Amino acid sequence: MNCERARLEIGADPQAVSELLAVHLAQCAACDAFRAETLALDAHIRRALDLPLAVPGRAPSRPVAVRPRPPQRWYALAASVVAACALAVGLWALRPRESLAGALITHVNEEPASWGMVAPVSPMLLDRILQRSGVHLALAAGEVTYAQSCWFRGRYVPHLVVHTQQGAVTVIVLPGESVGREQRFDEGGYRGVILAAPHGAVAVLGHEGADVDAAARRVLQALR
Amino acid sequence: MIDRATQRRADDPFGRLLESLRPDLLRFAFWLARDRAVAEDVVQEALLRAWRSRMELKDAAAAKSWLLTIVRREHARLYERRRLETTDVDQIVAQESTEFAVEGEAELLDLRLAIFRLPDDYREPLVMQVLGGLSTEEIGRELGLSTPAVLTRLFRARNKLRAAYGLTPAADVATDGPAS
Repeated sequence: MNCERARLEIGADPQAVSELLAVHLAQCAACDAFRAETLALDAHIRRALDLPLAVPGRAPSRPVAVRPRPPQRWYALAASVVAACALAVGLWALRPRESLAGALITHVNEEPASWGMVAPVSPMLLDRILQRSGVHLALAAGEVTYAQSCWFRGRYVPHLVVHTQQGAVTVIVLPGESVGREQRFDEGGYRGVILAAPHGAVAVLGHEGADVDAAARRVLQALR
Repeated sequence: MIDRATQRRADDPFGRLLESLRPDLLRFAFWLARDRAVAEDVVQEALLRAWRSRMELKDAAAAKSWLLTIVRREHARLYERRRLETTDVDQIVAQESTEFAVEGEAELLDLRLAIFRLPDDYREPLVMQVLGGLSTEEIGRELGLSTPAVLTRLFRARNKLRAAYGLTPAADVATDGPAS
């Protein structure tokens, strides 16, 4: 397979990797990097297409009749508008937010192809993904089979799949995320742990049987 | 006050299934039609058609993909029936872009607009693949295209979106097979 064919397949469906493409990617850093970029783009395309549209049938809001006010009441009206806006912003800021564990599971489920990669990512690509988030992670070459820079809760974070002796685990490094004590979760088909780490937190999650604790210890040792 | 037929559908498990999938169908139709009003018409017609053909659905787990196919075909039928004029893309964007300004998703605005601006030939297979979950072969069957032609259109769709995402577009690929 040549690079043109590889990029056609990647551009057409970055989630799918044929055997021939896998062989090519293991040998071609440029196409490997192209695939990484395209996967990141695809994650955003999915989010972009997932446009929340109100379903018709809901009662429309009634228009509010506005009576003309005498000029001397203009400042009172302006003040009430400002107060209403401040209240709305405050309520928006206090809106219930999906839990961190729930958000991580949602994100991992949006990238199902991440679990199926077999070829190790190139050190160059891994380095670029980590640098984008200002993360230094000393993992041995060959351990990481998936690396993406993903938009998660307001910032780009490294999303990796790391192979351990006990199976593959997902590692998401969360720079700037503040977690108090260790959080464990077992939901949505995943077991995981979220730990405080240098400059933020790290989440490790895997399917049934994966040793997330051993992987978490390994990642914390490798984080700088 | 709703009519008896509508009430019957609302009470029926299959009817409730259709309604639960309505937001997904509306989203799919909107990206195909690029017009909210047309999308709602398409979905309404598709749901009626699905209700009449409900015996064809053997596996409830396949309901969503079955319905998305009906929506796509209904959109194609509507397009053919009305011979919708090709209007200025900028006008369409101006008309529908209020749908894109979603709170907390400002970083997706440019990408949404770029997808909206994609020509039909590129946008439709992309939406069918990403939102509809159709394979390349399934897209080809639905659109009457060869697999190589579908691959080329999907590649070109994503290639056009690379710029909106801040990436350099890749070199275009040579077409392989019938004109795409």
